[in-house]
Amino acid sequence: MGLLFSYFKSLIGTREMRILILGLDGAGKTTILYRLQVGEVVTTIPTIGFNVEQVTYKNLKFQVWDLGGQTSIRPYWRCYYSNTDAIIYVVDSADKERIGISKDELVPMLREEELADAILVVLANKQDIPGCMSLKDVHQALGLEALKNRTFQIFKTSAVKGEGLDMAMEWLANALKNRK
Amino acid sequence: MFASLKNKIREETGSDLSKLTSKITSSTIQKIESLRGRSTQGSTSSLNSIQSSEGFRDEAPVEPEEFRKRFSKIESDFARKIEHKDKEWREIVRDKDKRINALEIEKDETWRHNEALKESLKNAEEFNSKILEHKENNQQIGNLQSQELLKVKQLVLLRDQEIATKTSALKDANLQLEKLRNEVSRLRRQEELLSDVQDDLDSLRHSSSRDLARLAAELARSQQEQRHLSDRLAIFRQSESEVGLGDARIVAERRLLEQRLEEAHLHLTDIKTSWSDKIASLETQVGRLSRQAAEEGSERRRAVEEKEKLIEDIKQLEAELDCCRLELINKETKIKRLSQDVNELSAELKVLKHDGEEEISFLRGELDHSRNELQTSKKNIDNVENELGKCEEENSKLKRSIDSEHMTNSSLRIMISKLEKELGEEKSNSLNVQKTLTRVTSEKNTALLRNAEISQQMELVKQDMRRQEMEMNDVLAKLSHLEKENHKLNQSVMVEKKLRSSISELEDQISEKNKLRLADMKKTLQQELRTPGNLNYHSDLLDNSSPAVLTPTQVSTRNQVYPSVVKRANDDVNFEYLKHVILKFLTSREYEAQHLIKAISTLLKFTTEEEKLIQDTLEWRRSWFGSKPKYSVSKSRNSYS
Repeated sequence: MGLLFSYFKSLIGTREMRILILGLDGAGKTTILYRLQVGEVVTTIPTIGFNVEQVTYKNLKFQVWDLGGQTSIRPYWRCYYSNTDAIIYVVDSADKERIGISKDELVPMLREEELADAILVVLANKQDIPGCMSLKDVHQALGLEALKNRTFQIFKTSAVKGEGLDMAMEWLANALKNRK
Repeated sequence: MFASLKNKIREETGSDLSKLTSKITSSTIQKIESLRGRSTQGSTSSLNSIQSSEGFRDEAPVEPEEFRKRFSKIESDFARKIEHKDKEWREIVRDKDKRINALEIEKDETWRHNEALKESLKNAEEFNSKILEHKENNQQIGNLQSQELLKVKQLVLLRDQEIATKTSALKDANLQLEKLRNEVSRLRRQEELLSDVQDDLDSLRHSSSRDLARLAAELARSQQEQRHLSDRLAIFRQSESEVGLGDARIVAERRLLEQRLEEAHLHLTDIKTSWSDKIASLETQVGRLSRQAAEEGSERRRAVEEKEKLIEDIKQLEAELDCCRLELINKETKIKRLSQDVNELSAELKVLKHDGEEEISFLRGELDHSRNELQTSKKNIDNVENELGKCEEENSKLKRSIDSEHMTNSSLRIMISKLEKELGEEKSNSLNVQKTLTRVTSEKNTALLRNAEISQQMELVKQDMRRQEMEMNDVLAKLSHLEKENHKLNQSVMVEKKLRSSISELEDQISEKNKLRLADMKKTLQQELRTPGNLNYHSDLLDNSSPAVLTPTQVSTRNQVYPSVVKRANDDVNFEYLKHVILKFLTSREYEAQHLIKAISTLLKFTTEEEKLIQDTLEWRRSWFGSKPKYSVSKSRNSYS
């Protein structure tokens, strides 16, 4: 039966890539999700819970999970780590005060065994706000230079203006293809 | 006039006239009829009768009774007579009036007719003048058209002439052209001849030159031979000289040789001369031929020039011809157009003529008709005038008769006035009697009326009586009814009083109860207000280790850091999160649901077995075979305990 199932599956096509969008509350995770799916900026409310959507990019199907980033529900992220292909970690470039908290959330997450093979994409979002941190600043603040044995890339984006997202998705798609 | 007369008669006779007329008997009618028969003589007879009556009066002086009788008789007679006369006169006058009216109407009619006829005459004259105008117009139009036609014809003629001249010129040009063509063809032939001649000349030149060359070569050969021979001679001589005084044979030979030489020489000279002659002749021939050729070349040049000229002429003529043709076409079109115009104009003219003729004929017919009418109307007028004259004559006759009648009438009036005076006295008497009679009758009538009124009043009073009795009965019945109602009312008032008293009692009871309740409520409220409202928080605080299951270190640290209110908010958020996740779990696809199992089991603190059960259930749902996994109650109980 399993053989039959796999045969059918091979007929239908490759399985969906599972991607998690994580980050502190108000970083723009939901906006990015819907920007990727619909191509439009939608008005969002703080996510308590999660959103899951199908996104097709360059013939690759992604099952994108946008998990709520509020302090009280951040601990539940770990419930979703299994079978994850990639993590999109969104940082609010304009929020200098909480960049440390963001780092504190990211570092233990990357230590998780379940996410050992996951590709990491860091999005320095809200680049359209004047006086925000540069790509280099974000890179430094998150301590990404210490990362080893990890396929990762950092991009500066503006979900509201739709800038940088295409580049990031392009890189991610290529990385996922290469890994297979 | 007659109407006023009638009125006068009426005034004078008064209302009695009608009364008197009623008394006319059959005998009087007979008399009237007799009088009608001799209307003119009526006056004399009436006078006679009056005289006779007077005579009768004079003759019989009798008693007052008799006198009265007689008087009455006379009166009646007079009345009859007057009536009779009056009637007669009235009739006559009426007839006259009628006749006069009729005549006047007739006269008016004739006048009107006359006027109408005059108007028609005028109209006819107007028509006549119009017809004349039309005729003039037609004539003018005809003249104009004829003039125009003439003009057009002249133009056409001019064009024709022009065309004729053009065509003649064209013919001439054509002829010239043909001539020139013929010449050209002739010249062509000549040209051919010329070329032949030239060819001949060339061949001749060639042959002559060849001959010349041949001759020159022969000459050169002969000269060479000669030279050779002279050389040989010289050699012989030498040898002869060398040999010296040789043989006679040698001398003879020498002589023979010399002779031969001479002969050859001679022969050579002969040949030379003949050749020179031949050459000269040939040269002359060549010169002649060259001359001929030059002549022919000049001729040919001239011919070519002529030819070119002719070709030019031809071209010119052709162009002219084309021009002429174009002009011709134009002219023809113009002619066509003009002829069309002429046709159109003639057609129009015809139509106009036709119309004019029709109109003229129509107007003539009308004129005739109007003339006829005029004649008939004139006849009518004459007739009417005749009639009018007759009528006037009749009228005058009638007037005369009326005058005579007037005369008789006035005499009769005098009589009537006399009789009327007598009558007046009698009338006054009779009036008195009548007055008394009327008074008595009026009194009687009044008495009767009063009687009737009284009886009516009596009846009315009786009716009133009856009605009042009826009303009385009604009122009595109502009274009894009202008394009954009054009784009932009293009873109801009693009941009401009783009810009111009971209501007041009940109200009192209710107010008391309310007071008690309010007091209770107040007490409870105060009690509740006094007790602290965050008892739940304490319980929460006691319970707050629940989220610590997830990340014990973090939560515990946070609980120490944040105040209790924030904790409660966190719990709310947790609840919200749980709700959302379960909702998603229930609504999502199976693939997504599998990922949510872990989250739910974390949130609801499932044991690993329970988690596995959910997973198995999902698997079972996804697969097509297998049995439903069962929940082991004992284990769960153990786990809970």
